[in-house]
Amino acid sequence: MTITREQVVVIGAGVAGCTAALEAARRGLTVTLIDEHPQNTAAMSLDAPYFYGARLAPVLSDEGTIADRVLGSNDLLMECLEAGVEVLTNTCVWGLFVSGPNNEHLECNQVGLADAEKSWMLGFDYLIVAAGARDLVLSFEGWHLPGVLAAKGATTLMGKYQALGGNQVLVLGSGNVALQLASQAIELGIKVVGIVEAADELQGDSELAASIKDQGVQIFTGYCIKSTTGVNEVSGAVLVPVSDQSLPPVDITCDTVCMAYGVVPNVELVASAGGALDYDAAQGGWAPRLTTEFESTISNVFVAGDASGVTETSLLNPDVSIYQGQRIAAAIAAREGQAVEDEVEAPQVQSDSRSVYPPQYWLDALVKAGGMGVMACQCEDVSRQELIEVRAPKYLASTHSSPCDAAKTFVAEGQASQDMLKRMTRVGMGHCQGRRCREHSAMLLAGIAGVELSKVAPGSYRVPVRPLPLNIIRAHDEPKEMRDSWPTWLHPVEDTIGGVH
Amino acid sequence: MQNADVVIIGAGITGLSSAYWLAKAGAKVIVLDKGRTAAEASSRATGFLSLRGEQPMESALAAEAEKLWDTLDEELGYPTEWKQEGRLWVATNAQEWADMQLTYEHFCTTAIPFELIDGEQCRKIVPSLMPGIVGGIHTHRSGHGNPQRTSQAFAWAFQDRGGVILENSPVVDILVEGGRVKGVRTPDSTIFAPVVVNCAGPQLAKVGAMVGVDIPVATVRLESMVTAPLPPLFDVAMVGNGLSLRQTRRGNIHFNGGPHEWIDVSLTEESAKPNTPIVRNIAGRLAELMPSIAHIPLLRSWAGIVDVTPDQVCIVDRLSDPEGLIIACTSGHGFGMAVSVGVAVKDLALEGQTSMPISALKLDRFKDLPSDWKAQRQWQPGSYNT
Repeated sequence: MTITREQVVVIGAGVAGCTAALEAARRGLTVTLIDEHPQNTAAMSLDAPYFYGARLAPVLSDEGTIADRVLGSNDLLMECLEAGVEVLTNTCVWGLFVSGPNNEHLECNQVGLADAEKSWMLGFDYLIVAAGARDLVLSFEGWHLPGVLAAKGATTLMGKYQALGGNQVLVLGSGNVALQLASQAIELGIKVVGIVEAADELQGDSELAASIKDQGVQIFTGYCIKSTTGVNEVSGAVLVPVSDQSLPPVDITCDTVCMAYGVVPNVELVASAGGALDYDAAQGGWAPRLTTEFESTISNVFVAGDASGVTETSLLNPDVSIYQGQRIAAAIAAREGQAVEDEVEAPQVQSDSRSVYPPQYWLDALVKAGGMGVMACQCEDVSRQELIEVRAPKYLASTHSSPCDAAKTFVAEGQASQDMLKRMTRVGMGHCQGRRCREHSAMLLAGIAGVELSKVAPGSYRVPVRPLPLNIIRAHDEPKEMRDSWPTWLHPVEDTIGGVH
Repeated sequence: MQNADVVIIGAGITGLSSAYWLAKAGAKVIVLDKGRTAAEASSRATGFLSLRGEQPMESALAAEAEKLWDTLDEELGYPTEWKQEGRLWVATNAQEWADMQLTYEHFCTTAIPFELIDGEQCRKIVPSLMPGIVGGIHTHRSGHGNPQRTSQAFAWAFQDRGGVILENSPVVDILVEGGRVKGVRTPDSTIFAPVVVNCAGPQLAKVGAMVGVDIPVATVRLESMVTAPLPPLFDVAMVGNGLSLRQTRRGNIHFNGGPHEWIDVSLTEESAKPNTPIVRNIAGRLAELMPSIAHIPLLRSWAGIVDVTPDQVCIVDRLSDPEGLIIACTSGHGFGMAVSVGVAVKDLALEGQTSMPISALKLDRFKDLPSDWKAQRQWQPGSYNT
């Protein structure tokens, strides 16, 4: 089968991706830029990869309006179109496949793409992954109700789609991602009913924090959410003090609770193809191992923007993403034999945010407020307690489901295995593909196993990195030879090699 | 330096089952693995017990396994998700139906009861099957379980009885003195034991080569996947439209099949197990076989490495040269068989003989095998899709 092969493929039309695409096009390279927005409403309702929490405004079903809004809100993407970049929107990338050990029969390196109707493969010489970041989520009583969403989901709905179906937002967390979300909401006229911070002070950039305070937003430092209120959807939240027990609990009215404890890089595409990850708390945990040219350990696969690592600075300032995009485009041009003289300089930008990864103090506060009975995995209905006890899933109704120190058996030479935990508890095996529980589960495992979070080997990342209906991912273009020669399993083998029977 | 009654190389399901039965019998056992427990083929199996109806050499051993499966949850104290609900092979077109008549004849080589049934009967057993099903082979015998949970159940039950599993501890040498096994060496320690069991799965041949024992095993990478959970649709362990599939207790359809790549493996490193774009073709075949679930999302895919002998039959043998070396190779159908293979290994290790039916499974049946058998089969590393 012969597949189309492009010179440069860029995944993600954020600042990093668009900059890389523009810069590569400016240098005369042929570029295809792929972005999954505007998403279909069916995909949006899955809460994967974005945790939208059912706060989807009705206008989302108006495809024309939404397409205009998503494209219209992205000036850089418009520039890409004008610069001759081939742009595929409403197209998700679900897999990365590269030739290498034990995979020697691939026609060329390629990505798997899908739109609302079908999937197809696209070959590339160079790949730039600018897939952004994803929300880190920690749970509390009632977090499964419609109206509980996460920061990236909320900012995407507010910014790209202008379709956040909520009017009174309570923000959990006060790092830069939380403060930015709050200021964006205020700008759009959405009421921010409060910012809740488990620590004693706001964590994020002081300038940003001051401007939000000036807007009169209520700040609840030293508080944690205990639960949401509401039956069929969120109608409020109960906040309790973390350490100063003389403070009163607070009942607050809101229709939207936004988890903004932190974000982590979207590493699944590179990791699923065998790219190495390293743990770096300053980059938001596990991030791809990159060269100074931002090339991953997979040759000719580069990573730019938040997908390469999220810092409090990069959340506020696009200069880092712009630099990475330019640097990668220059590196590719050089490999294509161009003389690249205008070496770009790394920007010197900083934020005085004190927000750190992982937000362990948040988890401690949530456990103190809500206990261990709180659900940790929505897809598979597993509580924190069931997780750390490595209890077999409820549907097995098993009385004796694991040894008393089961989590410790997942540790070898100081390294704990999230995969082994996942297999036994199913936490991370549901339709959100672990996006709503991965960090939470790793932090709980680190605690019970007595190891640092960096010593919890992350659960394997798997293709497809987007859950896709069989009908869509299936190979509509299957060649006849494959159909005819499809082997079910090895036997029977009909030959006459001596000594076999 | 440590001492044990038995050292087992490989913490896959075969090694863990052997270790469990040995520990239960009171032996001091250490299991070594180059990586983590059940991290390779054992956690990537389809989860079927193959009854080996076409294979008199080992059908009796499969029947022993089936008996043990019946009470395995109680035996181990942990759930395996085993479900004895029978097996079904379906033909999706006239050609497959014609081929199936021959398969049926082969299946009837042994005493295990199989039945040829028509398309309507197939759809009674699995209502979600495509309307065009022509017919099938059915048996009420056998079933399926959860490979990962079963391996871990054996591991925990073994540890509960004092057994030791040393992970990330590759065996780099087997010690032999005067024609007898003395123990094994890892990069940082030596473990002495009078009996060493080679359960190294894909690495069997390389471990055998440490003491000059030639074990004919080829290794192959296969791909597997699951859908999102569905309501209960079928209970049988099924084969059809080029796939093997089962519905898990949780409701996901777990399925695999299709082209595979022959590869080489390492004694110390975890092998790369990439998925390929073939996942699209595998997914498409499930959508064809069960059109009513074609809208269900594919959640994840993974790949595994499987060891295969030339006749695709197990090797379970205690050698006399070197004395004390036991080989247990389950040739790509170890998930179901490991239960009884483990009992045989226990007997061979402690008594030197067993009442388990393994007399046809000796290594010397391959003594006349040409050295280039893999090349003749196109099963050597790099070959594809045979």
